[in-house]
Amino acid sequence: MEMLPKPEKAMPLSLGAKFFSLPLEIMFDILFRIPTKDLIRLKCVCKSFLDLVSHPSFVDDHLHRAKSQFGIIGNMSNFPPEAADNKFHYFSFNFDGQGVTADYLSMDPEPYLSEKLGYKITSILASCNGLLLLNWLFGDQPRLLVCNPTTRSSMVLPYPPSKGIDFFSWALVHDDSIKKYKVIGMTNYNIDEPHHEHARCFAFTLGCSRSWRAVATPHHLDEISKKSVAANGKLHWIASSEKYMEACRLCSIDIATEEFSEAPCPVHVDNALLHFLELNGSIYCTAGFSDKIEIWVLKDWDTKIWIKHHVLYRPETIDFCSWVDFQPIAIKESPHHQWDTTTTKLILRHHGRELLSYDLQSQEMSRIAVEIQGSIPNRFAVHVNSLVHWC
Amino acid sequence: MSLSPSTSKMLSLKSSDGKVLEVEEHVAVLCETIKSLVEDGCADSPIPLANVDGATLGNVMEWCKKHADQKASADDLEDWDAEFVERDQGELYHLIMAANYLNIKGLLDLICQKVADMIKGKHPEKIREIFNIENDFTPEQQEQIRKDNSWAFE
Repeated sequence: MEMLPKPEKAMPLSLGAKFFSLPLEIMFDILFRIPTKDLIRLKCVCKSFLDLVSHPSFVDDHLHRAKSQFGIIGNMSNFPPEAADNKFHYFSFNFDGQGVTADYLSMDPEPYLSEKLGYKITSILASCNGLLLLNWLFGDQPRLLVCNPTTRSSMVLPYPPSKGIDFFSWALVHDDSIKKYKVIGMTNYNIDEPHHEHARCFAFTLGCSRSWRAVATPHHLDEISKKSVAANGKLHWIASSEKYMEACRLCSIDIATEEFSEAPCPVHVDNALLHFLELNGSIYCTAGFSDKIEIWVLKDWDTKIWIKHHVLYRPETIDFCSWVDFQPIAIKESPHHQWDTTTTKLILRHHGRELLSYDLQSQEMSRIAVEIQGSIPNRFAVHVNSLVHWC
Repeated sequence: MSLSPSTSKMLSLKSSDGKVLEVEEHVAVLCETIKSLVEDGCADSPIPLANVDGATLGNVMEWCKKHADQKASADDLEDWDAEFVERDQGELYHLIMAANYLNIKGLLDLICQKVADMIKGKHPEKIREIFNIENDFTPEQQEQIRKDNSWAFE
């Protein structure tokens, strides 16, 4: 059949064609008001929308906006039998204004990957700007996957050279200096390994590295916390040393230069009762005592001086045995419901049964009412719904 | 300079198509662009607004008048705004451009939200229909992009 000449594009009277003649910041303003799932669908409308939603400055601005909408993500700790598949099952908690919603979600990364995953994804290892680092087992071989659950982009990473090494702590960070994401894996001192007398660190730059590189660690560093937190261009752990009987310290790696540094912790308590959290680029430390939780903030990075920010006393409204039962997950700011100010809230996991929110201004502890199946996830990460890709 | 209603005088605004509109100063200064002219003492002659046509200027000033009315309650304004944005897309486009040029954040927010609400929760076919957008993907591209984003249609 002979092809007909394409008709001249008619000038429509509706917004369609004119939409793309709006100033870029106004198009962005409109699109920021649309949920991320709708933005993904918008990519399928026409080339102009595809280009707009994929535009790097749109993705950056969108991430910046998304960060003000606080959310946490947690993997399911016990799978229901019907979920025994290769999908990644997780809870997403989104805090907006007053309330919180919990969504039970699952994603199957396999159709978007060039290789088979083989087995069930086991846990969320780290989170950064809406990207997740996931761990899954291939037979008994642990493997790594980086994905964005909002866009479903996924990538398999090689596993670091790990003969005889158990990786203990994982982090996913953004290196602002080169605008790349890095995965950092840490191992602890292993008494059974003669050549493994101190903690070791491996790094992998997404979109650049073909293999892992070893990063020099201080010789006296032998134990670090599982959880790390990124703030002020650095990634921080709690370091302790049984071997040298040292007090807990703040151990940091500069994300750009990959150099280690240390600072004292604000108080001397058991490392299980210390937690580091990040808010607006500052690092907060919570320390549990028998009758209270102290919240400290590292005000000055140069002098490394901690300031006591708040003290949380035994809550009356919650069954209380010990602060050990309370695990701080995140600290967040939210707009006050009446005044034109913000309130700071500490989000805690209590007994693995419930999530609590403590308001630092009103000093009220309240239960976060969420309906989820089974128990509250045991591993949480702060998460945003972003359109970010790793390269 | 006092901008309270009691001392408000009239300002002349001249649209791109030469129409002159007399508006109370305390209404017109909701436009940040006009407010800075007033504060700089440059608002004596008819103020030329080269990027806003007469019909759109009338609509913009209708919105400013309602929002300058201190007796209007928040609920009242919300209902009024919801009715105000019930317009055809051509008018919405001109309102966005005018609100941007005249720097009226409240009006710009209102119209942007309206357009966003028209997009939310809709399938690509419906969006093309509503906004009269041509599908410029080849069938192969179309298939690939739907496949890559298939989960968003579940």
